[in-house]
Amino acid sequence: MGRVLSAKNVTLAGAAAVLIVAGLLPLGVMGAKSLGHYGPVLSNARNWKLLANSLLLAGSTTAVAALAGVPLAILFGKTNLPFRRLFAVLFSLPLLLPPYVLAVGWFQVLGSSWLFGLPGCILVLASCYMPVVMLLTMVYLRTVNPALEEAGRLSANGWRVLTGISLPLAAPGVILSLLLVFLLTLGEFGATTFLRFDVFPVASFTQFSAFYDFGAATAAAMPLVAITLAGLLVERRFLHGKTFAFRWAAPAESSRIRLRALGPLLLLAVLAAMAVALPLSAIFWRGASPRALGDAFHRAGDSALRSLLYAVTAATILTPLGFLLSYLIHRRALPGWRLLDALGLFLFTLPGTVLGIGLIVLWNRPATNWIYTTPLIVIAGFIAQYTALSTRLMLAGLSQVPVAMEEAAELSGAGWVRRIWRILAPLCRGSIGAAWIVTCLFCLRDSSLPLLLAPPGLDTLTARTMTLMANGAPDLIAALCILLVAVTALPLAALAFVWRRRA
Amino acid sequence: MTSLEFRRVSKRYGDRAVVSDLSFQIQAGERVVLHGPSGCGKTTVLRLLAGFLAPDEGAVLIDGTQVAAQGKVWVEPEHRRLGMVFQDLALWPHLTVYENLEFGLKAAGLPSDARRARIEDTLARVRLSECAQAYPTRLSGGQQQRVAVARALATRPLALLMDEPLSNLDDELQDELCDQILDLHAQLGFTLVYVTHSKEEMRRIAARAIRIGFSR
Repeated sequence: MGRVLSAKNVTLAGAAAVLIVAGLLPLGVMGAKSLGHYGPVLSNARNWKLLANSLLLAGSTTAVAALAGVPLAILFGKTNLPFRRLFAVLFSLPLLLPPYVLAVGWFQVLGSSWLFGLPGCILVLASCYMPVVMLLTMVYLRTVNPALEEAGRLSANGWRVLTGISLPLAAPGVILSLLLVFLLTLGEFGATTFLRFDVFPVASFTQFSAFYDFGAATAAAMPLVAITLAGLLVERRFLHGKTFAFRWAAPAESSRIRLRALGPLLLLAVLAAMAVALPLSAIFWRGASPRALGDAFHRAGDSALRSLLYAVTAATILTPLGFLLSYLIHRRALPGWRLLDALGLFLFTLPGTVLGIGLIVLWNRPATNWIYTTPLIVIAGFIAQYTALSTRLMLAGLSQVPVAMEEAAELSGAGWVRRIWRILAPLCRGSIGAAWIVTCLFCLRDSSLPLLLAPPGLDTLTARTMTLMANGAPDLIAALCILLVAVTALPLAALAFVWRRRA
Repeated sequence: MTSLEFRRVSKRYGDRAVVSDLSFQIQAGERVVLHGPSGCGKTTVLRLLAGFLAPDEGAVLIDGTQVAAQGKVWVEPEHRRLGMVFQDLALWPHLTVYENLEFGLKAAGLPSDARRARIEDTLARVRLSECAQAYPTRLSGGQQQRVAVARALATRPLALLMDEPLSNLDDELQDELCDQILDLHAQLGFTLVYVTHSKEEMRRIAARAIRIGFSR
């Protein structure tokens, strides 16, 4: 048994404290602040209408994302379709961009008459969040023990094995992905604002930005907190104990379904062109003139640099933080590890507007102005929102490393820090790299937190673009979106460079 | 009952030859043990027989018909009429014991009554009738082993492939299950291909033994 105040316990408790201070504390303060303001919020009929709109949008988007995402995951994960990896990457691209970029793209393609309103929002958000369903389903299908599928292949064909064995075993991942899409859509307000469909997150944002009424803003945010919490409780209730003993493994070639490639391939090409290439091409068509790009860079070049700086800083903090928290959770190293895991997921699915208002309520006071009036508050927001991403990615890596490897190092006399530094971190370097890239990309694409939190003159490209969208010329908006795509491509290019060098 | 044949079969994983120029014949109804040191390719031989892998060179034949050759699988696993007990058993954790047995029978198109009769009969043969509605994870190691055997035999395969099925059990259970496997072979008459590196299991099961050596 180790000492209570060992380096290990202190470090892990410190990591847990960072998440609690960055994410839980703001919500607690916000809850206290909201007391006494629920009456006006609850009696306002418009708020109920907005909530109904949000739920309708989230439900419809989730349904469309499921109908497209699960079959695509099967096609790319379980068949012999040529170019399936390329297609999977292509379909995942929208996830890397703020939804309003796709909204701008679709606006260039379809014009306003059809796009504005609920159908347009469903189209944009479903194409944006469908990759969540597709990728999580693919990951869970891939982790099914190949022997379970091969045992089925002795008496049944690939489709029957897929529906009877693989998909039921991957169901927890599919359900989790649907829940994530529902909650992410529920908190979305950038694309919905552009597409003129009023949703509930606007209610608290308006109270805050237009009336500067903290009490009303926090009270208006609470229903979203409650819905997010309820969603996660449902997930815990129904999926608890239903995740079977998965292990990472190469997919069993024997369980791959053999297709006649041409038909589905053509269909996929058309779908890919529609869902991804069409809106992005339209943005490039509209905004890729030297004049528009020059104007965009003149107006938002400094914001683009700040976007990169904030995202790189946040990712560099989130990566070791996620590593420590994943260690804490995987090894059950401290009491309350389960709650910490749930807190991370809860904060990830919480709308950025809600988290942002909580952070402002907490840090907007004279003693902490050094946080509130500097980019530190944006970084704190990113840490609160995206710790779950780095933690989950790191957990996947850590669970592949047998505990005995650390135990062997311990028996050799290595202290905890040395074991982490010399044994576990090198063995998890793939997950560490993935966590850095993924969190960096999510910070780059985030618009809600910077819009609320960035101090004057220190905004990000996503926030600047959203501000300019209100009255900017279409060419300028399209050029800003191109700039955004270019900034997002930078970490990906760095990743590709590192991969090529390693290869 | 069915005969199995390897005709100059080779299989490589990347640069590493796992099986090299291997030939053997197993007659219908025979009880054969494949043995050899760890890592010599015994499991690969079973996977080639089952149709999960295709040989890079040579041919695999079942009842004289070529089912895989020269990198191609000609007959898919579900059409080979083979059963297999995997080393880690591979019982489906989301299905009950009954449903584990039913999966293959449904795929074969057996009507509901026939399925029920077959499952009850098979479970009775391995003395697991009382566990039909249990989930595999609720059963003991020995019971899980018998479910795996029952599932493999439910479709009445012509040959049963067993990949070190008793390696995780204690000596007493190994003895009991060896007897049970021999009983089932005598009752149902399938061709048995049994992989092990245990001399004791080989002594008890084998009517004939084929040694698999390291490939270079």
